[in-house]
Amino acid sequence: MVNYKFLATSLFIFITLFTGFSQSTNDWHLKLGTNYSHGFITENTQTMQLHGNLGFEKNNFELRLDGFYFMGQQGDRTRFSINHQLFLGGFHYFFKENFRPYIGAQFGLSYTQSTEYGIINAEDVLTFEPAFNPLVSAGLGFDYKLNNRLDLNLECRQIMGKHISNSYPTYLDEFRVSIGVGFYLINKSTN
Amino acid sequence: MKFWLLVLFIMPTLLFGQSDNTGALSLGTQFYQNLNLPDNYQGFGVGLNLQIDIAKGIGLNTHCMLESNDLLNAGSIRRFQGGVGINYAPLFNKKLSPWVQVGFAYNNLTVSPISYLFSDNSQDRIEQYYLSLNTGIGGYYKVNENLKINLGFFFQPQNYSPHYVLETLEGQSVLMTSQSALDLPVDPLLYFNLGITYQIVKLW
Repeated sequence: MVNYKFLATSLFIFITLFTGFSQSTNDWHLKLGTNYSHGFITENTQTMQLHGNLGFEKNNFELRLDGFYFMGQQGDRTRFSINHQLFLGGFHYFFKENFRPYIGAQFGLSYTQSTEYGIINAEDVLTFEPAFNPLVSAGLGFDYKLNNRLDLNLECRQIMGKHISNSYPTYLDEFRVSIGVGFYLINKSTN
Repeated sequence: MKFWLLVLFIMPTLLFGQSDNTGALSLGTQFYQNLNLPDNYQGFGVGLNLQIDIAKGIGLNTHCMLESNDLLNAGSIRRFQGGVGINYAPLFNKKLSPWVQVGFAYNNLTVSPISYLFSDNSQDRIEQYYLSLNTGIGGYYKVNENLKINLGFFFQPQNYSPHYVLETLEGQSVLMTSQSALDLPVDPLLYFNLGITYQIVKLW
């Protein structure tokens, strides 16, 4: 069953994000970001993640790899014991000034293990099968450049996907807010 | 003879003549949605692709993709696919170009009937491997010299015999697996594909 509404919305967002930004310069940088990320899922549940990323930016476009390391969760339905995620995608930056808002989309993979739907196996042990599953994510945020080596970052994103394993599936949909700092490993920007 | 000499002379000129994209190595991140999913299936796939432009508008493309399909309380089908192909974009030096692609894809299907707390059906999980033709058509928009947004459709006829069947009995879906091949038709895969490719480096 194809969710055409989801597909059309994703397509619209994706194309709007990345078209029309064809300004070309020789400025580029490679940046390493370290963040704390807080997630909000349904049933009054919150998650905590360490969020790292590595981005290459040129012509106001950043190709970025993001990793989320799941640290824990709290709330009414703590449904995962493992929920690590890796994303690759692009972000468009709107300005070249110190305050730099951006918007983008990424595709990724999750490595998840449920705490809810376990199986008692042949050895009479309750097991929860971990699994890899695909994810999509769209987000926006801003960088505030402190100097040529360092900036502050605030970002929010929506993640969509499903933990599919050997038992009942569980949605991975989550809204996350990340805050942290970015270190310019290589900075060839003129401003 | 004259014809073949002409072809021999023209072809390398066409393929390896002056071009501004030859040697470019691009990395892409891709989203796939099978538009031909049967009822009671839900899911999508994501993947990576790597392309080396070997001549004017011609690229050697490799891809890998993971797709998970939830069979709505009956089980799941997970597809891992890797493939190679030749991609041709006739208007490669323009902002907008159509492209076609032909290649092969290797598929690894893992079919898992659902297990419950006191009903472990993991022994009924099966894996199937097969090779399929992978043909695609689409277009890209070149945002700048490094970045392209690509949109397309991939068609993959399925030439294998499934060892599983999803049946609905009294309103309840049941995924049944078998050790022997079942004589059932399999719908071809028709992927809607959306992604970005980014030129990382020019190798030559």
